[in-house]
Amino acid sequence: MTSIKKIGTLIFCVATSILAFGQEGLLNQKVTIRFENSAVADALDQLMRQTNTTINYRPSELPKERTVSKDFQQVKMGEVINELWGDDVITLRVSGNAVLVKRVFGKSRKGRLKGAIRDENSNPLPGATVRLPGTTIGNITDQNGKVNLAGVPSGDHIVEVSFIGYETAQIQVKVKSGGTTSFSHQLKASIDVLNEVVVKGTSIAKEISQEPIKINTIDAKAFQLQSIDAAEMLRTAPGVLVRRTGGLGSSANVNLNGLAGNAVRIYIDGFPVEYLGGGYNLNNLPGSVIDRLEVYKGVVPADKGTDALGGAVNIVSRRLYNNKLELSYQVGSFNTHRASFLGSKKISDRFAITLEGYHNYSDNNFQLANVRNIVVDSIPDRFGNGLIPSVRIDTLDRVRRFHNAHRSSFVQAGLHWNDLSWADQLSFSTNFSSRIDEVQTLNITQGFALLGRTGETMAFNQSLAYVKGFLDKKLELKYRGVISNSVQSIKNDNTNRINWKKEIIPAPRPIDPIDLETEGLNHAHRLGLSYNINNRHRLSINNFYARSRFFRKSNINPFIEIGGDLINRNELPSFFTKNIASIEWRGDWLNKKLTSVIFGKHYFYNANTVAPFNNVTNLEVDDQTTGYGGALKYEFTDHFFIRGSYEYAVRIPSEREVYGDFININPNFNLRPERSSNFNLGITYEKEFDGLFRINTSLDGFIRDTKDLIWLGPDGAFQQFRNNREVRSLGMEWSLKVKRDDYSKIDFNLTSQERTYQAFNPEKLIFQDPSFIGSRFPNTPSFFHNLQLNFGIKSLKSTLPNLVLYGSWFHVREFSITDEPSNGEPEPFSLVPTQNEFNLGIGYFSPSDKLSLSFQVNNLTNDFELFDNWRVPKPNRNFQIKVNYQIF
Amino acid sequence: MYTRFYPRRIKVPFIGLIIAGMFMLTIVSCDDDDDGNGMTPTEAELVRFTLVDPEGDSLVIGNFGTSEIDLSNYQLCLGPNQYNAISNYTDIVGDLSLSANENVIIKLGSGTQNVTSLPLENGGLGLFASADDFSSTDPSLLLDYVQWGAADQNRVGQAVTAGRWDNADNFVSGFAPYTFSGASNQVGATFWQTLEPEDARLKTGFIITATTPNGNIVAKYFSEMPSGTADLTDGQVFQSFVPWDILDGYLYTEGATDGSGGIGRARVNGNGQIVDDGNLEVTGNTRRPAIVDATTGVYTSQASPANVGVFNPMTMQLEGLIEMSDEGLPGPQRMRNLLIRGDEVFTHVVSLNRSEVPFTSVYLQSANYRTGQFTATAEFPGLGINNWQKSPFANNVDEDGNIYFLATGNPPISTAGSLHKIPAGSNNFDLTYRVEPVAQIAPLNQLLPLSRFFNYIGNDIGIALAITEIPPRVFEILASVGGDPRNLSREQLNEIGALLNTEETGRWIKINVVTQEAENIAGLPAQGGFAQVFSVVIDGEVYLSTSTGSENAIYKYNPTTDAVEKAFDVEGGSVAGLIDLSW
Repeated sequence: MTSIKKIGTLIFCVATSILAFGQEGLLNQKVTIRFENSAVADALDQLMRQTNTTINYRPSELPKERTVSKDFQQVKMGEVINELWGDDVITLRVSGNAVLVKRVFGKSRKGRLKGAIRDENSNPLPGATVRLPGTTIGNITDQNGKVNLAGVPSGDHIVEVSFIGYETAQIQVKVKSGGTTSFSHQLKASIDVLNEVVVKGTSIAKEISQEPIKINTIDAKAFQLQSIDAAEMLRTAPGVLVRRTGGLGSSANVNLNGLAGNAVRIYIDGFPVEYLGGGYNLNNLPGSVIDRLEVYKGVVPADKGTDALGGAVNIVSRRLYNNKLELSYQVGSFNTHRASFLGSKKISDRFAITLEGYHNYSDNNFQLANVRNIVVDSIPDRFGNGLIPSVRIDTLDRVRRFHNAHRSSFVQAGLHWNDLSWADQLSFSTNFSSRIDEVQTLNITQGFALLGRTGETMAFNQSLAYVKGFLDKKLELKYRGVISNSVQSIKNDNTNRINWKKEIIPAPRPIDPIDLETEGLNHAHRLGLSYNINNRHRLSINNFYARSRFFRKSNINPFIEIGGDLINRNELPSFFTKNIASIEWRGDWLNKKLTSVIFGKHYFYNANTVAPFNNVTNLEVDDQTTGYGGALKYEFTDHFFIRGSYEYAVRIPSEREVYGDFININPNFNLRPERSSNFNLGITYEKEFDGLFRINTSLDGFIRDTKDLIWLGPDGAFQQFRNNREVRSLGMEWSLKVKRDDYSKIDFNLTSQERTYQAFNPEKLIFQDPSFIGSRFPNTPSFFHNLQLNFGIKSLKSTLPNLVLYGSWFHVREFSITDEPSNGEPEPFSLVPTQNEFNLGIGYFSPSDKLSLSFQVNNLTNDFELFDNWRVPKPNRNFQIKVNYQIF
Repeated sequence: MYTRFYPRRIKVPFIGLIIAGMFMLTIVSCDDDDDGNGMTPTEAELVRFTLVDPEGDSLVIGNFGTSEIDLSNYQLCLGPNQYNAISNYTDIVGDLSLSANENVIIKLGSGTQNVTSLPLENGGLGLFASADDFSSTDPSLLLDYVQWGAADQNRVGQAVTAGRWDNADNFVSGFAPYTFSGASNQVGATFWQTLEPEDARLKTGFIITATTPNGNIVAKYFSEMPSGTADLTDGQVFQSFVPWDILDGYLYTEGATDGSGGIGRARVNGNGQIVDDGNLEVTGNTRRPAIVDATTGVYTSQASPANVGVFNPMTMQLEGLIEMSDEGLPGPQRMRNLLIRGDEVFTHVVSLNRSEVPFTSVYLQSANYRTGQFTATAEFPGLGINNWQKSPFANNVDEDGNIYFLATGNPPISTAGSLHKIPAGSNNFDLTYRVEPVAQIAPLNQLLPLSRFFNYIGNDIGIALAITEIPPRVFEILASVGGDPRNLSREQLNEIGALLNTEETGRWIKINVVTQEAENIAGLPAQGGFAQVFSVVIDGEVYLSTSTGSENAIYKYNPTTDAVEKAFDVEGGSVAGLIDLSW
């Protein structure tokens, strides 16, 4: 009966609606009506009765299963009708006193909401909660501070954004039906809950640090005040030693859990630094342009790794969002000046440009103590041939280093798009870097210096980064590629040796002038594809490919004769190619208490050169091998977890190790990749105490069994890299962090490790003396710890402290730079004595937080017995002042 | 830890004093020592030993009186039948007519009769004014006395009776030289000072060195030649320690032990530790110092490649540069190894820049290190680029003055390793003399017939290491290029080089330089053909290093009987050297 009535009504309404088409005012009529668990058809009947209107619809288009319980108070009738159809999209037409309802198939009334949440410094805020109050719709932001909410009903909504430590914000948005609506918001830090932020806030650093594969992160924000560069920042991490050979810009050798040198790869924004032209690196990147450092020890995830044997350090650059410009300037002892800027301009919601750069300069003329100094006197020749030079050594109490300056510059511009239909993120950046390093002397124990040797590097890089998600973000494609042109040169145009008093040492045979230049063209690409099988399992594959073409140009004997032809070897290129493919599966189990990661890697390299070595051309070698690994993490409680990881890692020889340096190092085309079995096991405990501070402590052990260690050894009158060592590193590290906030905390970490010979010259018939099996590998500290203290004093109204006192203590126990027999003691001149380095500083934040100042004293005790790599002295006591200013 | 250690405490036991007193009445004398002229000095002519050095076989006599004294006929006496007049010594610094408060230094080694050295371990030395009665207890005849090392030395009883020594049980104990610090009327060990162990310089014993995995040198002193196993695991580790010559307990090295340049000088102190003791600074790396005597040492340096430097090995001061001539050479030269024949120094010269101006001959140049005059350039044509690796301490000059030069050979096959001779009295090669030892011992080895580390050990015999065995794989590689080594690729050469190193291809051989015959030394294991080895002669035995994949030892070879036996194994590094401090 009801159906017959409805059909009749429909027929009637169709007829009348034709007459009344266009009379939309009916839909704006406000009604007050209440439904209680009503079927839609019944609700429509109720509405028609109450409004004395006719609502025409096809019964087949009615959401029959739907029931409605809602109290509408003075709501437009059109909205009420829309509400009754739920998610289905309908069109409404008015004809006279009738409303025609027609469903639009294939369309949903829901839309997508994309948000970007940042803090007051425009840094992404991962972990912030974004939700629509009154609904179950909501999510937390990802590592980039972004959130993507699907199934949001079209229409106006209030989005609530909350994050512990920040004031909760409510933002009004309008969601388009079937479309995507984007919004962005900067959260304001909450004074009242600042402590809570520290305790409960989940930073990127913390998230990373809780990965199954152990990763130490160093948040550069904590060092923002300090006059510190990337290398200095890195040495605060547990298990890490950064061994340098002087002051600003001097080379930095990273020792991670006993492995060092090329075994530890350095990445900048996930890309191996060796493919970035050499203009910028750990040793000259100022702290102000760094967001964080990620330290991977022994085991490197497939999507990050290349061919790192003992781990990797990833320097993540800072990037500002919206419209910001920050300046930083540091001035200090030894005529040190460091300036940097970081800026961004938001052109639209989807497009921004960034510009950043820095300039470093230092004379590095710090003092040395008790320095051997060659003095040349003239004495009568025994044979009556006039005067001859006689050499003696004086010891000078204090001398200043000279011809030791470092200058480097870097500028980078970037274009960044997001939320394009074909790209979630797209960035193009180009940078130019240059550095000049004066080289004073190669061996300070010789008592003389080299005056005219200078190294120069210029590099021009372009990079492209692309991210796109498919299948509702289940599938994500990532690509980054870099093309780098670089020129590196070493020149020595002064052929005199001089002593520490800058007196020329007469020599019958002057030093040969040196003019070496390497022109390189590198291109490298990393392509990654990851698929979220479900919310517990993810599969990813990655491939890294790099190819270098370079010319080595030398002023020494460039022409050689091959087959009767005179060939200029400076004009012949060499090539080096490597490819690392990897696959990784990550899974969560037991209600996410257990996390597993397994991965496999395939390594390939090819070295090809037409440069002649001993009159032989067209040399080529390639090799391939596989590696694998995995990690497990189990959370016993919210505060306590255990994790272990293993990787059979491979390091491909570098082009220098294969080709030599064309001067003193002979090539070795039989060089095999280094291999290492790396195992980590550790426990972590973290707990908040009364909302005041948080304690985090970790105890980790590690084993590294390295075979075919590549080692530079003698090769007749020259040198050559060879695979003739097997070394084991075994150690433990303990870290303790007590933190109130970034500016009030205590970090302490301690490492005890043994790096010992397991075999040497295994491929040669040279006796492997058993007494050295198990003896310490030289130049590797076995015990060290460091303590970082920060104490911030702030007023209640300030989000940042007004004053920060900070200090550090680095301790390294005595070690030998020569081999140590199992029962023997190394000679004193082979010992690096126990080191205790103290640094102290004070910083100030202006009330507006736009300005900060700091004053810092390094090597507080002015210890002249502070040594670094191979007993090279560190700078004596020095003072640094730093200013940070945020213009807008 | 070290077996040689002398306590510095002066032993004066009370009971010893009583016994000594009793013996004063029953002096045992040397009645047969009664020749001499019977001079009798007065107290105003008092002379005393002021320094006695058994290590250096020298002494100093001082005039504590007020008158000039002629020491010529004074006698030194070590005991029965061990006496000598001071005038019989020729190496004297000072005047034997000794003025008041003056000293004279006497080198005993220059003596023409008895008492040409002082016993190292223990002894008693008397100074007699007369040779008439060495049994005398007359203080006017027995002028002074000192005993060291142990009590009750010869003539101590007489000396005690004469008041020239305080007690027969007292003796000087410590490291020589012994220095008198008392007044003219003071006698006994109390007034003799010895060197602190740290300041002492041992002149006997042995140093064994080995190479550590990282290329450093571990070294350890042994007072006696080890047997069984020489354990270096508690030895000293140096960045560099390669002695090339020894003089009077001083070891002369290329560079210093801390890795810095110049010529280093080291010694073994009284604690058995090797310590630096002087350096001749040179602005450049130095090569193979060779020491002629206490006044002259020679070296070559990269800093002055056309010079031979002449220095004083005692003061470690440069004294002169010999300008070598490049006349007759294809281009500028630099010097390498040195050897000494009489007043001449011979040096192997190679091209200063061999890639630009390769030398196609082997050249040895000679000069007179006394006059500083260049002598001649010896040329053996057709040998091409060739090395000369000799054992440390090997001078390679035979008893007649013939010089032997073992050219390593220049692989592949351009030249075989060959022994050459510069005859005695000549400064040029005997072009008819050419011995290719590998051709005799391993005629199948036509590919790399190399021989190195020649050491002339006397009696016409030289020792060397030769590549005598070729792994089968090498023949396979050679066959793959039609048997012509000139067709070998770089990779194939690399593989062959690695095989010769990893396979046991090198053997110690002996070469009779007169008969020109070479043969293997039987009973020694083969070792890596390119290994760094050494041979050294000690007390007529040849000690040969042997380091293989399974053995790290020094063997002992008797060149007369051809007997071979293992001297000792070495633990603590790959064996690199055996140094006899008394060499």
